Amino acid sequence: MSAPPSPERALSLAADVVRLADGVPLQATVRAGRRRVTRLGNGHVLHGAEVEETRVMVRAVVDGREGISFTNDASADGLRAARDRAVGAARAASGEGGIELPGPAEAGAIVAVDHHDEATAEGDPAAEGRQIAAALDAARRADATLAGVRVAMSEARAVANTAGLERSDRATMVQARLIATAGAATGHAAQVAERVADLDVVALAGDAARTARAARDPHPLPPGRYDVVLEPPAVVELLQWLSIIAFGSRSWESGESFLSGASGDRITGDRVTLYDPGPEAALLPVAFDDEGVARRPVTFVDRGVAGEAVHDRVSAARGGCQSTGHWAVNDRFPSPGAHPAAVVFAAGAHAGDLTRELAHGLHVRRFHYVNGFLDPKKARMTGLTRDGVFEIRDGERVRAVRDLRFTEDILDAFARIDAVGDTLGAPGGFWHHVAGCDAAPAILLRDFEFTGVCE
Amino acid sequence: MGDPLALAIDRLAARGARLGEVRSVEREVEWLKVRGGRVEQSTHTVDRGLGVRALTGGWGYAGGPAADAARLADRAVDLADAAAAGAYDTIDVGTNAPVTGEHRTPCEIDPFGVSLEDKLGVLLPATAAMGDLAVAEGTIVAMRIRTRLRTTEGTDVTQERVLTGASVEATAADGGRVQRRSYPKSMEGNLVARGFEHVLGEALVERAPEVGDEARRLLAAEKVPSGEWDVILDGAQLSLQIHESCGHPTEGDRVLGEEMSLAGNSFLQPHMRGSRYGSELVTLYADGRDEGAAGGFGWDDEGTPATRVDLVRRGEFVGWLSGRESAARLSTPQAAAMRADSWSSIPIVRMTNVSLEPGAGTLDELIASTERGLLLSRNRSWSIDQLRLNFQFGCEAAWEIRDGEIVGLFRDAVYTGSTPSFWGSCDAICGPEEWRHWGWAFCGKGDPVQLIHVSHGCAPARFRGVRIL
Repeated sequence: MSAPPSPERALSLAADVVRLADGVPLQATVRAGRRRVTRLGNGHVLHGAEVEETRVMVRAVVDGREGISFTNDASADGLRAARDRAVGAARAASGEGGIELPGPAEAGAIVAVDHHDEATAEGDPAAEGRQIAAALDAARRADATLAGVRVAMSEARAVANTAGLERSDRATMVQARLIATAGAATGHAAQVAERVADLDVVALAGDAARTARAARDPHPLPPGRYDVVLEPPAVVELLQWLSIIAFGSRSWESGESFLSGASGDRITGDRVTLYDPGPEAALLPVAFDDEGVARRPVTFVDRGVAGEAVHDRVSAARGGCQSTGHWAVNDRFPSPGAHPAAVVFAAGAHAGDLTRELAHGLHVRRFHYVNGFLDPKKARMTGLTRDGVFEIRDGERVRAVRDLRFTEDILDAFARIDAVGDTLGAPGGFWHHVAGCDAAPAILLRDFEFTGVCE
Repeated sequence: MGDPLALAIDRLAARGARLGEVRSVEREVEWLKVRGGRVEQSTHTVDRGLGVRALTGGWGYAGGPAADAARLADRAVDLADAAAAGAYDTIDVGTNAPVTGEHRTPCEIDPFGVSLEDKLGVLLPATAAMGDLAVAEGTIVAMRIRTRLRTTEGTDVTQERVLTGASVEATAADGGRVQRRSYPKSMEGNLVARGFEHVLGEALVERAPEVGDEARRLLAAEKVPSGEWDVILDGAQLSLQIHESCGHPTEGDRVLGEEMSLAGNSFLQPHMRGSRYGSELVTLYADGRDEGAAGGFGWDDEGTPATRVDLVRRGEFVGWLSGRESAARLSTPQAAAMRADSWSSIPIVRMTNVSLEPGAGTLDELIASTERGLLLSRNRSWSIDQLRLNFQFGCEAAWEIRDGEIVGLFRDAVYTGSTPSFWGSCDAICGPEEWRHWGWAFCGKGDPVQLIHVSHGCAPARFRGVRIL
């Protein structure tokens, strides 16, 4: 492969774009990335893949209104065309205006973060192949077949603008998401890390296989309310939906978020603290957003009390508050406004296995296909269990249980949390990102409502 | 620099690849979103690159700039060789006859030739026409995708697809209550493989007042009573029902356990072929040839000519979506369903246009023949289990039907069921006059996730005894 992405080259490219400004306030955000993937299925390696791409976002501001273009054509003609498209879009835009690009002072001082690992960026295909083979073997020895993915990413990012701002960073990430199948039962294990040395694919395979074996011959339980222990992957999926429906600037502005107008109000239980750690994250921290503004931690819910949503400078100006450094534009799946990079459920004080505290309940490893649009003001969500659900009696696992569907008002449900584990898990999400990682502890929650049973 | 595809093909052949595919993709995508009289997002993306897939003892894929064609070919072969040790003992892709040609989707008005000012001239009046609301939004999307695929078998096909979509969405809010209504459905609207003439034909300005009114009415409406109801799904909602409960479980790679890490598995396993999936009225099929439909093309990303494959025939499960390898593993005809969302993604089995054959009669006639029921309109929420059996959908609006007439409007309609018993309860499907394609821009699948456009042709249909929560 070619050399790993370099923040110096990314910044140089961003500066090239800014030199095309020709009197128009202009911003360039460059992402130079490389991704290696090994995909597994049915106990085999389905394929290995590598992709390299440098993407340039050009943001132009005319009369306080913006237009944005993206390109991966870094030639002089390509950049000029991107600049022209952005300027044209800015000229055509309507609205109250008021957008200004931040200079270094407006962008604020950043907290330096470093989660780049050279070995992860370079990669070692032979070593990775041996690990994958060992993982497949570990599952086979446990009479299970493995499916999943191992992804390693490295990225250099740079932001430059005509107001004199120049910032760059680099990051690496490696993630494995594995499903073991034993008969009709499945088990899941996943992990995100900054360094390949911290990812133990073989151990994950073993975990997944043990869960799959334990999940065989599930019994049906009737729908109803059960005390549950939710493992970190299940909690993280709920956090991701809370982020979508409530923690971004757009839903906050429109009043659709349960945080809207509720700052300082008690909205859930006092064991619940949810936040975006920003540059203080233990895993994949982020120092600044895609317009170069310093990111700061944001507390969405503080011990059950409503806090704030994330903002960029545009939404903050409209809302009469401060930017939290969450400006970004997604051209693949347009979702305007500021969004959290990560949501963390603060760890609690309970050490050890929470299932020991269940007199009778369910141990839920993971949720699937959660949807939070049923009633966002109440955080009403539905979803299904997946990859291992177990009935617990007197702190002991008694049998596997058939998958169930839940429909719950999550804020109310979180008010019934009885215990929070002391260790955060970071399984990774739907998308693979080098920056920002959701994390959660295991939680023990009373009377969680299941409204259906899967066949 | 020579032709990058030729360079890559030559390199694949020189490296002894059993099969090599080189795909150049250029995408141009524009999203224009307005909210409350201002432009909320105006993005224009131009993106091009080369994806090389190689088969030796395993599969390898490398993506990057076309200027790196030879290096990408080498890398794809290296990755294929590295994958060999863990790959299937046998990878049978059959032998596809080489094809050459060009294909274009119909386009009267180039959407990229329409100025942003003219597009805003559609969206801004439309959002203003929705009246007093918490939020009034509008979206126009345009895509142009140019591809060229060459293979070591001699295939050389060039395609150009132009797609457009447009929508308006109204959000009404009152204290703690929020209701949404969209037309023709939310986000991308009805995405089709046609030019800007489609956006103009959606008549957003004319339809907008009704959308705003319905959002306000929903705010004041009662919640739909829970229990068993006969339901009629409108085309937009039925298209998503088809997508989730037929399109996905018939993807051959899911059936083979190859999608487990993200999207899951399927209940439509090989031993289920010939079993009952739905009522006798239900015939579901995939056809990539449907002109003007978002999931259509001339050849898939393996170079297999678009074709029709029956998935469910008169209620009986009969087939899967597949590519060359999955078709061989499932002993099923190739469905020409291998698609990648960009040059940077490997082709995987995807939906094309997965549709429900029409029945007979108009929607008015279907309502008139319903004694007590609900007409459920446009989707609001969606959830289904990883086998694609247990589902739950929320809809924007539920029109109450009593003695064959619409008598009122309910809010917050959520219905749930299990796929075979739900489709088994289908006792009426409207006719060709009510049938149209409904395109979706963001079908997510694969790991890393790919988002691709698909379409579902359908006419409204009735299902008996459906559980409303």
